[in-house]
Amino acid sequence: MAYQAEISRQNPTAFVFLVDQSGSMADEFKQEGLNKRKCDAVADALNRLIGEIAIRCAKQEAVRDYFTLALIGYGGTAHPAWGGDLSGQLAVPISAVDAHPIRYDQRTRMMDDGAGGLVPQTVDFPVWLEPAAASGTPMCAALQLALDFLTEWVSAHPQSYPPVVFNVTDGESTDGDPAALMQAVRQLATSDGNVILANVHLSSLSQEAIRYPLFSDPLPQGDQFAPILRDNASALIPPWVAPLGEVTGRALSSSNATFVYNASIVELIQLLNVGTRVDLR
Amino acid sequence: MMRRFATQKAGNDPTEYEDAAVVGVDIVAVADGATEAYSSGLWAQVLVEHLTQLPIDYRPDPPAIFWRRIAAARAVWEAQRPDPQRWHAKIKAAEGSAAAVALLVITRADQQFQALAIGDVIIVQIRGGHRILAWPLDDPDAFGYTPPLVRTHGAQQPLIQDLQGTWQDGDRFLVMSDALAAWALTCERAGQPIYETLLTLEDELSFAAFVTAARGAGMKNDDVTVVGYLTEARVPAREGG
Repeated sequence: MAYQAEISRQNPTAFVFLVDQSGSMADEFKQEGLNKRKCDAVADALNRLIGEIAIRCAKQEAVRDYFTLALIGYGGTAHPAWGGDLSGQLAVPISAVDAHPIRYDQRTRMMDDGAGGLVPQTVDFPVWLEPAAASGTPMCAALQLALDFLTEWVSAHPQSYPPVVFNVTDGESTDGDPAALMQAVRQLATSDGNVILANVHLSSLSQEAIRYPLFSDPLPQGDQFAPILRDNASALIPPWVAPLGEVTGRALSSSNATFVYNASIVELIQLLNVGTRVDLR
Repeated sequence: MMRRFATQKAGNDPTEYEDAAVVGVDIVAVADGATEAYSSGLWAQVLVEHLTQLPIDYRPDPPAIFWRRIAAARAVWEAQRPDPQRWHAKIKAAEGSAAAVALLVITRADQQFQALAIGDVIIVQIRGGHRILAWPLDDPDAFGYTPPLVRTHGAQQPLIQDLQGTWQDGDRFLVMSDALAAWALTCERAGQPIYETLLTLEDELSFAAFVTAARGAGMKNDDVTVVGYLTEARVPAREGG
């Protein structure tokens, strides 16, 4: 059965984050209770997620290399999006990610108070990705970078749990039709299954999201790009069906696409959490 | 008579083993530290040491005695755990540690046993070549990735499983951490039980060979701990001199 491979230091896997950094990402989310530019909210969500991944890989003071993370921004150009000491590197083992944040901010985290409650505590919050929003949306170039990296990865890790690609965008590709590149990414495989491509379309408006539609579901008229993102996303893999069904309150199956249209930041975070939650050895 | 075997996950260093077992006279405790928790090997060890301290009679009030000992174990873990330095270690240390545990106490006088468990360390009772008990789980499909765990932190603890039973002379028990337990139940379901193999392991070499073969055949790669216990009849009181 696919998507069962053990993830260990000997057999790590990879997460690839493609982050739209085009000009429209400077628009504010206009959803209830949130007054943040999309690029700020996405960078914040990814910094938090990367931090949580590092925490999960931590054993005492060290961080074990269960994962390699690739961070690709696309706004004007497609480029590695790590900041600080990691600038210019595309894919970085989680131990090196942990060792080289750009800086530590201070954040409040709710911690156990030992009596059944939670108390706020100030903790270090590492930052690896700075928000950016400028120019066009070269999604094809970003996918090409991901494809090049993943081709090498699956060749070097043929038994690994298949890498997962999260493509987070608010607009249309401005450097061509990305369908063929998305298919090429999905066709890459290890012995445990094909590479997983999740497409998340962000909306700054308070529109209802379309979460994990069937491949046959109708999509809103007028957006030519939505079907490209939906049709070229992976089908939901079995380990994600139940947890995503739980967060959406719907019965999902492998007939549903790993695609969210008009996603809020909350829906993005839900998908990132489920998609990176794997059992470690 | 008791036998204990243990090994770490394949590919890990022996120092990374995070199960723990204490085997005393008529008492066995096995704990399985949660992989992602802080200093969980230490927690597993402190846990089994506290649960097996004398006196070992839990029968007056098994859950109450269990939790009193857990409270003491928590204080010891907090005092002995490494002082966290890095940002993630501070967060993990503050969140505490966690482990699954099972405890088996044999009473010779009335041929009873007391079992307590939280999580997916299981106790198996064998009589005459047949398994007559697998507890608290008896279905290999019931072993998930989020078993209930005994935690160092938090006021809300999972419900403790509590079982009293009887044994006959020659009954044998196995206490196993989750990967082996699930594998043993899987083999039994397939009509090829491995209990006898486990109970007759000769030495570390034969245990290592067994584990390698089992992992190759589908057992989850995890720390493995197994304790075998053979009950013996109570020594009859002598009459006269």
